[in-house]
Amino acid sequence: MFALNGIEHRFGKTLAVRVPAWSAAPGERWLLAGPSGSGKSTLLHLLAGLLRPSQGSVAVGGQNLAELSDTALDRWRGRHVGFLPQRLHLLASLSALDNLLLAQYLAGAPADRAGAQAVLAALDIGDLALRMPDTLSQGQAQRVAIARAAINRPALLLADEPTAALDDANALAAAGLLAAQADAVGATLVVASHDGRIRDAFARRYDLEAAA
Amino acid sequence: MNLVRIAYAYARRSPLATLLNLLLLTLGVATITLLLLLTTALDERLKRDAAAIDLVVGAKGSPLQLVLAGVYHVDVPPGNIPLEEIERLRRNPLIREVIPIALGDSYRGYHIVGTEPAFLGLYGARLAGGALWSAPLEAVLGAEVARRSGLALGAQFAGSHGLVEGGEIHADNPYRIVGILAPAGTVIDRLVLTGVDSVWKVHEHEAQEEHAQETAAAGQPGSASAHAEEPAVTPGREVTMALVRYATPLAAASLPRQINAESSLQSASPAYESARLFTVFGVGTDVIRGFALFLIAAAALGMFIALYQAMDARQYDLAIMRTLGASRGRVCGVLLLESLLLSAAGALLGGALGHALLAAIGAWLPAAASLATGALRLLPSELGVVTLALAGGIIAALLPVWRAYRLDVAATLAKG
Repeated sequence: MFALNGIEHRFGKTLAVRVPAWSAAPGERWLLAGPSGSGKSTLLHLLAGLLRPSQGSVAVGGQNLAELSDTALDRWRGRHVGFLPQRLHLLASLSALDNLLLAQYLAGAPADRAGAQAVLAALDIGDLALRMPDTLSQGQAQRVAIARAAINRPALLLADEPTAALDDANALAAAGLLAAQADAVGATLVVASHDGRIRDAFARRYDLEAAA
Repeated sequence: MNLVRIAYAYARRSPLATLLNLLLLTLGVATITLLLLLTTALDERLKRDAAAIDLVVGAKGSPLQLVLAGVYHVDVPPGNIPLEEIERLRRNPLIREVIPIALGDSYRGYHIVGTEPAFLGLYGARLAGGALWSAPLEAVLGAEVARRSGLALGAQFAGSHGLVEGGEIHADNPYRIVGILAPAGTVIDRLVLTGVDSVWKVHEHEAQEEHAQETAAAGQPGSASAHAEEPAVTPGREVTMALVRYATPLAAASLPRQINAESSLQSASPAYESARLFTVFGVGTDVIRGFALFLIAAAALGMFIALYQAMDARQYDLAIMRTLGASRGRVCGVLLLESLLLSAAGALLGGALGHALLAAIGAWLPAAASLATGALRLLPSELGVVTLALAGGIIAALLPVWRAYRLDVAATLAKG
């Protein structure tokens, strides 16, 4: 599904992440593990096309990301990648449902209110559709963010430390939700986490060593 | 979901700042619009009233006063000129037409003008009913005079002495209405016309003291003394001034100087004097316009501050939008659109308010009613005001848009 080859990324002269080779098949669930500062977030950004590697190549779904222009890369990301950021970053000006409709709109997908409502319902938050993000609990907000990442049925679903802010029970539940959503849309799942509580929820694991 | 809805959602997120900036912009645009409409209406009005009159010839005094009294009928005349001067002007080959006017009386504040039928042509007037005057003490009412006084054909009224209300009533010499004019959109709508001989007849019994009283009533100390120096005059042999049309454009070069050189006469060009009046008047409008521009600038600054201040929190939203597939241009577009929507709303509301204010002024102040007739008309220059407001919106968004364009999505997501 994706293949990384000879990846190195530097911020200035500092090496942030190094991945000699890593590839995944469609539908696989991966845990991206490693201590803080080992470059997990950076690697997710490289996979999402939010960063271009200083060296090496990133191919996702047969597409070499280096071949895409900046604008084309933005459009590609909208269509093929679902991204769950650590701090969720729901748009505070928009309701839960509108956050999902925004994702459809920006990805160039047709507006599908019923579909968005269905995804929220599948995550057990169908009744929160019209609530504003600042009225939601952390767990509810995370479900909205997961829904937003999955709404366009991405081929690649990325999550950055999704359990850092959650208690034990919710941490496992969140990992389960991500896996369920990935299954539902047929996405390859990569969860970056150093959280030992969810280690066993993933069949596959890629370990990053602390860089430099 | 679309860019407009996103922009609207953000504007609604901080309603007070949005409303304040909208209010400032609306007031600024409304002020400029009202000013544009008023000055345009006034300018057209002045030009229309004076369109056919090349030169006003009267007694020595201020040329502006001559024009205000003789063309626009908003001031008292400086004094009288002998009738022979009219005949002399008529013999001048540079002059196509000389129309004498005799002022001094009024009816309910409307000036009574003793003149000749050609006067109607100067102001584009036509009879709506009845006939022109053919004998002394026959009068023709302007459209507004007829409407406001309710006087009909055949009715009688007495003029009062002086050009302001409250003068002595000439009850023994009442006028009879023989004609009423159709509305012409010029000052003639507010005049009562009669023959020059009517004015002579009303005043012929009056002694010379009363003549002195007339100039006193006219409130012109300068002309009063001028009158005192004059030899004993027979009121019946004078007119107030002459309205002149040139036979050739060349006359403009020599005729005014030629007339002014004669000791007893003074000439004034309506075009020149009204332009001079407008420059005096223009200082006031410049001040108001400056204030309105200040309001628009304040609104633009307010929009800039609101947008820029929101950027620190907003950068995460923008980063997420990029993550969701929005290009740099689209993200910048949201910010620009937000600013443009607000300024467009301000421009539209302000424009509408400006027109509404003019209509309201026209409804409340009868004196301004004629200026407010164009309240529903759109001027080409209003497009400039709208452009100005939109430009303010764009300028307000420039720096935030630049920040949004340069946003490092990965770094923003990593730090927050």
